[in-house]
Amino acid sequence: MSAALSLESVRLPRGTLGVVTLQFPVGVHVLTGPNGIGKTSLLNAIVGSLPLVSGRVHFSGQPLDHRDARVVLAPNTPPDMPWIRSGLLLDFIVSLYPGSRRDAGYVNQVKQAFGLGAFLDSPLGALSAGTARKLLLAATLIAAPPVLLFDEPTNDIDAASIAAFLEFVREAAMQRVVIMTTHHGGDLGSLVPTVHAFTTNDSK
Amino acid sequence: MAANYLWIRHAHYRITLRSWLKGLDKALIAIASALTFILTAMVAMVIYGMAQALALLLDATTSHWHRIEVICAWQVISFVLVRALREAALMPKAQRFFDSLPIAPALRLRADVVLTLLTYSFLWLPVTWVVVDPLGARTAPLGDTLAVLAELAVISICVNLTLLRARPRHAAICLLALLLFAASQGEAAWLTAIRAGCALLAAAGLWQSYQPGAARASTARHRSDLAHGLALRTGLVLPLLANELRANLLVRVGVILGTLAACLLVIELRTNDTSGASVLLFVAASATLALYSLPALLRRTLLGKLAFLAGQPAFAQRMRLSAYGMPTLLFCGALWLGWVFDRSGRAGIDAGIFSALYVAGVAGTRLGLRITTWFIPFAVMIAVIILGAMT
Repeated sequence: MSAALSLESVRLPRGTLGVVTLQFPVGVHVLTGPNGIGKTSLLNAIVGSLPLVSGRVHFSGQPLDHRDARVVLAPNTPPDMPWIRSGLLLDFIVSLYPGSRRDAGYVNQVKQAFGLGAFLDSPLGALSAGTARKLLLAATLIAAPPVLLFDEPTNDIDAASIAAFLEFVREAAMQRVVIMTTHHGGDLGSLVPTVHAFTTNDSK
Repeated sequence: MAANYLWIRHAHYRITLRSWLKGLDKALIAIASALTFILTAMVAMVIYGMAQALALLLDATTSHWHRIEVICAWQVISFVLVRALREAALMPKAQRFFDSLPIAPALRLRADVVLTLLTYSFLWLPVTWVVVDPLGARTAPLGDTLAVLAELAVISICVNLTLLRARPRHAAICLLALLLFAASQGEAAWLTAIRAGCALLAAAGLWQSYQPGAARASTARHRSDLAHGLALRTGLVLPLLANELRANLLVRVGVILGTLAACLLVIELRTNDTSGASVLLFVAASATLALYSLPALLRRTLLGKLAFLAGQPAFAQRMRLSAYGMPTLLFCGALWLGWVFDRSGRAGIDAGIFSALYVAGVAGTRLGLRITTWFIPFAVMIAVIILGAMT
């Protein structure tokens, strides 16, 4: 059975996507579309935090359960927990994924590339929007289950960090399904992704 | 009316309280209708009991320990009250925005003090009783009575405001003033002067805490491996309790410890036979009310803030164990404390009944049953009346 994520007649409780049937094989996929159409809701539904109205989500031919450690999401806003130490949040997210890439070399490489070292002892509320987003991107890359979801990953972050992020995604996508939403498709062009452009009442 | 700073604070106070009290009307109506005949007597008894305790401060024959107990009880009750209404009274979430505006420190101090005075609400009833003295039992002159009560109120307001606005250095000054005030018992002129000095010292500490530069910048936290490991294993419930819900937890624990302290104080002050006094009954009742909604609050807060992780099996597993385990441990600890001081001889029955109510409350809030919000307080009240009558 191929390692692909598939959505079968999925209908979301929010947005105007209608019924969605899609296949996401291993590689990079980009979801685009106007504000409010349901891109973020679709990612939340795949990760299990938004119940579906109808339809099913499968991975490698098996249903993706409501609680499943085969998928991780980097949200587009950091959690409303300004008191939490940034390093603790990163370690907590990673600890939820049994198959994560916890080898020290990769972890340090990711932290260094995003320039996170100096911020891991700071509370989340003290970080800039860009640094908080890079923290969530780093946690997602280190957790590294078979399906990685990124919601607007390049918003707020500097050019050097975007370049580093694209390199990590390129390497991760060789064996994993990577799905990203974006309004800035140009940033991700170098990955040569499969683009899924949604329009209102889209039915695929 | 122009929307000045004080007006905005007043409006926020009124609107917040109104929204908080919205869901409580059914519980209040249920309790009032069940207690029609004894409600007045109960309220009068509580006010009279508190007034009697305050009157001890004016009596030269009161022992040092009783004086300290009364002052501590007043301080704890007033702190719990102001902390519980902090969002309404002190508007902390908007402080950073107000800090960026040119508002005079005196104006801020005035708004905070006025709203804290309002928040003391029912605490003014026993104070009024002591001043008016309807039973003619007061021995001290009116001037001395007013002075002592005013000094106590001023110092407690200063302590509460400096603590709740996170000004540790100024809070230490105010707490020192409270300590000196508690220790200076007597009618000598120099002791009266010291007590007045304590009030002035606390007021100066409070005033200083409003001056620019009084707040300290938050610094990066030191990582502790033990705390880090515990935080991960408890699904972040422990750091959530230690940070965001710290004050919420302190109020809940404060209510339980306050009930225990009140029971012990009443036993100490009563002149009739207290050999069969029931302590566990009241401690278990307050623990049930204070803790039954905590597991659902922890679960809801974490799932709401970390919605993107809500689907992870390891998260749900770790969170479930600690979100239900920690409040239940606190509940068991409260039962144990009540049991240690209980003299009724039927502590087991009381503990069993309130444990069942606690479990029902936890299950009801987990299932999202709205009836739980008024049924559990009502059931606890009825249980206290029936079991209390058996003592």
